[in-house]
Amino acid sequence: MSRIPPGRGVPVRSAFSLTRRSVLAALGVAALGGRAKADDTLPPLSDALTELKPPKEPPAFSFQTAGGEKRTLADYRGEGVVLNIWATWCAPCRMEMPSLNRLSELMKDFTISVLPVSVDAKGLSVVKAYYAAHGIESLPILLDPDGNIGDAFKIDGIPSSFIIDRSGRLVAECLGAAEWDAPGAVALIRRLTSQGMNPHELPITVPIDSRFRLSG
Amino acid sequence: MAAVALLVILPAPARAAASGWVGNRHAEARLITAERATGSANVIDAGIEIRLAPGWHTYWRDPGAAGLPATIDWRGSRNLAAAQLDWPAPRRFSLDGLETYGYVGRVVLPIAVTLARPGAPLLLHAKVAYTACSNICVPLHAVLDLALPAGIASPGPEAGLIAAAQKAVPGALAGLGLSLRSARVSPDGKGASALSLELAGPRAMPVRPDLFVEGLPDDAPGPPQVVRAGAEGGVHLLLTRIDVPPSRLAGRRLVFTLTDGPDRAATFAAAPALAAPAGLAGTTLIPLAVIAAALLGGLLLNVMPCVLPVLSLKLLYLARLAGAERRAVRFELLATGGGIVAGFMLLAAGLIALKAFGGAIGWGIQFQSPWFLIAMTMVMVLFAADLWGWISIAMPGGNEAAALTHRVGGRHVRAVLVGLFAALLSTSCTAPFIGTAVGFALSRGPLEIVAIFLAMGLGLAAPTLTAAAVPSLVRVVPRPGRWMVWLSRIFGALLLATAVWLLAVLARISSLDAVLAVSGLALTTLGVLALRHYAGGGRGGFRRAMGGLSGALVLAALLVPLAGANAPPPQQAPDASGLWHPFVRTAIAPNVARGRVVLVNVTAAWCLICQVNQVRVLDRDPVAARLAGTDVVAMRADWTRPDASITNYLESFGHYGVPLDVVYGPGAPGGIVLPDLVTAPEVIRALDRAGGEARAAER
Repeated sequence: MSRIPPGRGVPVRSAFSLTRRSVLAALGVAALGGRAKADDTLPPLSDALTELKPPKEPPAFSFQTAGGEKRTLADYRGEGVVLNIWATWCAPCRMEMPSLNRLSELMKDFTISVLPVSVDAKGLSVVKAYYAAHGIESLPILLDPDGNIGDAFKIDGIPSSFIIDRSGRLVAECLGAAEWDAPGAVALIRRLTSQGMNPHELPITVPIDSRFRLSG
Repeated sequence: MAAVALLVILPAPARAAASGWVGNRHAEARLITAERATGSANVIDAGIEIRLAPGWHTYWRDPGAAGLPATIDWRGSRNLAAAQLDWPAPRRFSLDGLETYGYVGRVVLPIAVTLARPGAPLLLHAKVAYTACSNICVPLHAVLDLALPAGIASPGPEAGLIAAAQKAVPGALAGLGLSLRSARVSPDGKGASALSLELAGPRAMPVRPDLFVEGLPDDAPGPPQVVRAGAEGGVHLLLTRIDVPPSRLAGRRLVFTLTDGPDRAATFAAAPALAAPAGLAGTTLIPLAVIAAALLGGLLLNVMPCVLPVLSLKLLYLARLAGAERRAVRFELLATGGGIVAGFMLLAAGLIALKAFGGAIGWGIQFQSPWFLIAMTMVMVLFAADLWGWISIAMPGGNEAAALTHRVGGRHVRAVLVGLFAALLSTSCTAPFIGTAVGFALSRGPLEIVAIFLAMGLGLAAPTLTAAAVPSLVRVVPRPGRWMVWLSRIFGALLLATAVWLLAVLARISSLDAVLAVSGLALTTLGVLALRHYAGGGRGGFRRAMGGLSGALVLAALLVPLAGANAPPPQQAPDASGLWHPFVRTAIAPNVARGRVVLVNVTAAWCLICQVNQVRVLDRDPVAARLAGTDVVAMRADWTRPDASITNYLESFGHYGVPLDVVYGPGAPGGIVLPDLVTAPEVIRALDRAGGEARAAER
């Protein structure tokens, strides 16, 4: 019964899908109601992201707040910005929203704003319903129902994300979903947005091994 | 002259029945018509064809949990009165728990175009908005123009595409040879619902059913489970964990689209009724077919290895009686038959009580109890001792043992016990039809449980009762002689082997100490009985003392569970082959979403059929080699001990016992249930079917 089939003499856990991690993740799904599920399949940010060297000037664009106020990049001068273009009907966008939500929480202390701009044609109502249904509490509701922002950045599709440093330059872009709140991703975003920062505020380069320590 | 004639004939092929393709490298769309000219018809068949790059998909009219369906704005068209868009049957995409419905590759959405003025030229101007997704999503807008001149209609090159698309639009349920028998909604956990659809039909069930539901508020359920692949035709589908309370679904009009592979689909509407609470089930009628299944299943249990040692005991006792009078034989047989039926009634009573107190129920669950295992072990030991003549073999000398046997009804009591224990042991096997009967009974009330278990008992007792009716059959057995002594020894050894097997099962659910204690007590009992037999001679006092001692030992064994036998057993050694992973129900869908095939093997140490499946099929090549592949995940759920999550899983398939083997994959996200007794080709075929379709679609 415990005969070893050919070619399986050595442990093959890594080649296997049901690693301890995925089992734990699956259990986590049951326990936490879907929290761990998305993380397990989202690619690490470092893989999904393309750094722009040298950095570029971002195109001119604007979007609206839930209250209808117009916003541009100038409103976030001096801050690092993670701009995410998404829609409620877009399955890969929805996969990374919980991770962006947690990123936003983690970034509060570092003057880095996470700005998800929805290009839903139906605007506020669907985004508001989505936030409520999925417990998105740390992200602002931002809207661009006409999709102008996508045209401005000439994006290939959504989700598309852009990282803008404190001096207002476009330093990285990311096409497709990514795991935004992993320790490595957090460190990467802090490094990318550090340009134009007060030197003594520069992030520590020691790897941060726990997101919980960061938020605490 | 010739040139003029050519001009008249030639223009037809030059007139396109299709617009150009508009789109990007991910997705493109065009407008096509079946005819090259408007002819004289009121309605012209047209279509929007969407072509998608590999890995991309677009959406059905109900996109599921995410996505947007295509919309068409016809403003700017000329001579267009109406355009009716139809949707071919979709397929399912599962992305991390997000269920979406749509199309891959190429799809034609057929459109019936009604002309305002038949016979006049037509200009179609379509602004098509649709979305295509892979790991990113792209909203696309295509402005498509197609002009059809007036003139004789002749089919264009795209006519076939449109005709095929029209055929792919789901038709009526009758087209699949099915009719809706019932649609029910019931609670499924906190605030969630389960939808159950029973479809009847004379033909075999759909091969690969998928079910899409429109009209559910804010939820897109996963693929359906095929609860019963009815031999009587039709299919019973179950959608679980719908995130809407049952009260909101009951009476709500839902539109169901049932697909069976890429070519067969039907759409029908139903308003599910709230399923009656379980307590009211007592008044339902039991279909005759289920009673017949129970009888037949019981009959087939006679040839299963689980009852053979005990029932062959019966034969042996009969052989001893071969010389006896017809009446005695008849009584003996009736007593055993009665014991069998009583055993099943005992099982039924136990299950009814468990159910009433909210306990988990199932076929053979008494094997999960250490009390039962120890009791049966000791019973086997006593029977073996009896066969070896250590207890009460009929000694013509008229000593005490013989007196004991011939005490009023003593022999009949033994005959009853043989039947009773045969019945209790029989549930470690399952036979064809047993699953159907038990599944029906345990899902209903006490009345049904009693009726169906009675039928199964009668089925198992049928050969015995037949022999009782025609006792001359027993005369075929040869006269007692030396051969019988040998046969008794062999059967005694078989019974001891059964006892050893029971102890091995006990080792899986109790502490090692408990197993050692019971083994020791069993051996001592055997020893004491042997001593009593061989050394006792004619000394009545010694025999009595030894008899009493053996009784005390049996009792002591039964008390072992009180001394902490239920302590968790030592950690099971992990499966040395590395082939089998522990069963985690929530890990199935994520693996399937990544294109893997998942085999779930629900088994128990006390389930003989399960062991046969493992040794003969699952744990050896070619199946083992296949399961070792990186694209396959093999999970083993061990039901040897009570486990609520496994019981729930079994129940979700309408199963109340093991074995259960289910294969999931991109081609069968709802799972393919394998037969109880599997064969290697069947397993391989199911693995292929579960994995095959997705692989073919990706390439």
